[in-house]
Amino acid sequence: VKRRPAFLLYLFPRAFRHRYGRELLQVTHTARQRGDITTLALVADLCGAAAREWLGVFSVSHPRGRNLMQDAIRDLRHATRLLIRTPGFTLAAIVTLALAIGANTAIFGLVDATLLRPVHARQPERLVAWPWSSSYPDYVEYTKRTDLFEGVLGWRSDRVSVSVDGTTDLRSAAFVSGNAFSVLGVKPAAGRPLLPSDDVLNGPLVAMLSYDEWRNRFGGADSIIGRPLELNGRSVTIVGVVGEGHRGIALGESPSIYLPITAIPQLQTGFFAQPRIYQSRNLVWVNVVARLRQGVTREQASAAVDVVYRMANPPTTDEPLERLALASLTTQALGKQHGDSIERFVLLLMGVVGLTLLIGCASLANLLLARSASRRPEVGVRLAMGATPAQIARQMIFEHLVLAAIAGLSGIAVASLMLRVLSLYQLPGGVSIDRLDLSLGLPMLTAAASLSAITGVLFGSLPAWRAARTDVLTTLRDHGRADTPQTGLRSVLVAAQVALSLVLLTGSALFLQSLLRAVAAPLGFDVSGVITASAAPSAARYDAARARAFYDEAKQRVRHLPGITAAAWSSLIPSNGAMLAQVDVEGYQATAASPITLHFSYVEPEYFLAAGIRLVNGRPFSAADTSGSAPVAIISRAAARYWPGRNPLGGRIGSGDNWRTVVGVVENTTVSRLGEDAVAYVYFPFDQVSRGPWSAAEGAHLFVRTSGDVSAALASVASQLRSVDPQMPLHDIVPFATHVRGLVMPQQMGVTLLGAFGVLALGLAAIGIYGVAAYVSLLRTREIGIRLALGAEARHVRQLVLRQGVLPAALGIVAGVGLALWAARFARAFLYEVSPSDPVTFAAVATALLLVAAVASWLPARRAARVDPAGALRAQ
Amino acid sequence: MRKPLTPAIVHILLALADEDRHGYGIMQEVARLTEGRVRMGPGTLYGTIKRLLAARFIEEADERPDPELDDERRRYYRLTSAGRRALESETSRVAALLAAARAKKVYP
Repeated sequence: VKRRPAFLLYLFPRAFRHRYGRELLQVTHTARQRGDITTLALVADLCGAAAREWLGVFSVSHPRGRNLMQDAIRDLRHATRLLIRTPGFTLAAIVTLALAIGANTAIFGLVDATLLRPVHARQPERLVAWPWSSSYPDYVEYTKRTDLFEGVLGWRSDRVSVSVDGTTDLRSAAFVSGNAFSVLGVKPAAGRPLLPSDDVLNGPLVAMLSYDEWRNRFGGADSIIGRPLELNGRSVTIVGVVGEGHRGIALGESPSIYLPITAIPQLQTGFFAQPRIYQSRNLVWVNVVARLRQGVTREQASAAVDVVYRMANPPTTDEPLERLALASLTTQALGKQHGDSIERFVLLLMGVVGLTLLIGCASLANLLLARSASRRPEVGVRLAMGATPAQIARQMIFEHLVLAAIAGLSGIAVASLMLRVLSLYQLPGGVSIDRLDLSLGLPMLTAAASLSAITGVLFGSLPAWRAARTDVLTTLRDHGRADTPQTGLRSVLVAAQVALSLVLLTGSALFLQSLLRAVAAPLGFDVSGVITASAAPSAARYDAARARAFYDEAKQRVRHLPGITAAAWSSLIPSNGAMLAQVDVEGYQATAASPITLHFSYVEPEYFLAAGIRLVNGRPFSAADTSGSAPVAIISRAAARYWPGRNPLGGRIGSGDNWRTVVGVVENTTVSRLGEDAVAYVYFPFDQVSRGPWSAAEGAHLFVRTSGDVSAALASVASQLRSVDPQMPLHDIVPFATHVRGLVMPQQMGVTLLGAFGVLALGLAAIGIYGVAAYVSLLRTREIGIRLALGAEARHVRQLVLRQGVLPAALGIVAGVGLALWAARFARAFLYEVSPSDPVTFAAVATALLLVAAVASWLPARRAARVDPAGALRAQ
Repeated sequence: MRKPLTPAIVHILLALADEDRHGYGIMQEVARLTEGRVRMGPGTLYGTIKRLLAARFIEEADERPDPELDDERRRYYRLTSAGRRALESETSRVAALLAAARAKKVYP
């Protein structure tokens, strides 16, 4: 018991321990015996005292007049002078740190905009979202629970057409309940918010603009308030502008215009034109979000809301209703389908830039070790002239803070550059990053500042500590030679750098392989030479007949353009959306647990030709398949599994009294992501929609195949379509490949980012290896000279130096392979047809790194072998 | 104007003002002088002793057992004239401060 605190003595520097250790234990023992001090206080005291000993602070100086400000300015000038005197080091350190800080700042911004705060609102942690859409009467029911919620808002996203100065554009819109902005806690940037008094049926039409829309389209002028806007062919009065930063309640939604939820019938056609949408419990279209009252938990609210839901919707079948569990809006905003992917992907990116920061730190530490060794003479002289260790330490920390501050500022520039690169990409699920709130705001600047402060203090204290412990006598006796080989620590740092670089490089190699395979993968359609154009007739309040007339006329005109080989309208673009229907197949016994659910779309006869979907069996649709003729369908190869052992041609598919005959089988197509299981798909003729769940007025997409130049065809198709009907809201007249691009986006982004960081890491590692080998050969010049003088062969000397560089690299590669095998698991979800532990990739990257290490140490090795023995011996 | 000394330094100098003491003796004396409000841990104690030695404010006296404790030999410390001067100047600084505080009725 008496010796118990003895181990704590090892916290102290050795000299201190030797001189005062015995006495310290004596006092501790006596004090413990007499109960003068508690264990906790003792441990705290010893740790604190040990830290002060190491840092050499709080010395008893014989003080003279001092001025903190003057001291700081003197230190700053001194630090700047020193940094300017070693431009190579300064530049290398700043570039390394700036890249690492910049990348981390930008990705932190992405994390902030997706995982942390996807929804811009006051206290978003108290906002909850219903897991699925509700009917309007149910929504009203929920709003009555003021005991649970401070407010409950209803929300529906849609697109509207907006005409400004004669040009019509489609804009995303949100139809919101009158309390929406007070529930979210979002203040208007100008004018007033939408209010409950606006939220009345057949009321005057009013709207709020989003901040971006106001800025970009209306120049951010206050005079816009009170002005009318032509929206879906109606005049709508602008009453306000939503506060900056708010971009809706779902990731990437960013509505441009906010309208009262009760204005829908006045502005829409078809389904949503009926006032019945506000009365029927069967029509489910309202997204509901609520703010929990203080003290109410999500579980309590879920239980209570579940009861409301059950009371309002008594089960019609034996199947029990699914339990209604409220989600936090922050989670729900990422989207149910892709939320997990987005989270994993963003965290993967964070891991990558985190690794880069580590690599940068290792390489910087290496630079600093070399520098602190070369500065020992200077420190020795200063100590001898009467500077205190504390002064020297403080000045060194100051120097590195200056370095970090410059790096931090450059890092912000790097971050904004990287944000621009990021905005070219999409998150999994197709959310474009440029639709997120990714401006260099306070959170990102804070991140950059804290990163630079941390690295500055961290790297400043290492050399400061070494310098403060410099022994004056030895340093001066050795005539200021920079000796003390710190090759051990430096080799460890090099090994760490190589290991981390290997992780990044294998990562990018895996992504590159999966990108190559993904690009070559059969999509089921042929995107080359295909253009798509989308029309949204409902946004101009066109009915189905008028929409159909437009489709026919537009197709005829486009079809007669030169070079066009096929043109067809489709109800959707594969890879860019999905509609699902539950059907029966004649002769196939589906169970209640696994009903037959098929993807479906309505397509014109030439669709398969235009989209390049191969017909496997039977016939395509023809102009004879109209609303008057026998109902028919074409299935994908995967859907043929519902006719096991039979020919699906002639089989019947449908439900109730709505049955169709299968007339053809086509190749499977990719629906949502590469490598998915083949999707069972069914196609219906575009002209046989009358009995289907889709209306021509909702919008359709024209597929055009050209044998000529795609960009030329784009222009001519666009002008033809606009000439048919200038009022028709058209959007996304783009090559089909643009839509498909989303499918390979994660791989592409992985290759670009990991590749860039991998190359950066490789460069840093090469410099590190070169540094160690060069340093070693410098330290051992004398020894090498003697060896050569005694007859050693140049070859052996080369090997000696080569080993110093290659050995740590080899160790790093071994460690890196282990680390990469472990880390690759996190990338598995984004790899396509490549195993995360692909041996070829690992072997290739390891070999490449070893080669780099060999080359980097070869240069100093060659130089060492050319040492002139006589010169080397004379010089020292 | 002199920089004020740290509390730990003042306490140790004060503890040694009347007689030579060993480490534990200093600890006890500090606790007694401050009526138990300041309890100096051994780490702080010897860290400060080291600096006071370096500044020549105190010096090592002799090494002998303390009859009141066990029979272990303990190192005694003694105030030097420089240490005494430092303590005096610190005390007059505090006294001046106290006088100023009284004049402004901050302190009774």
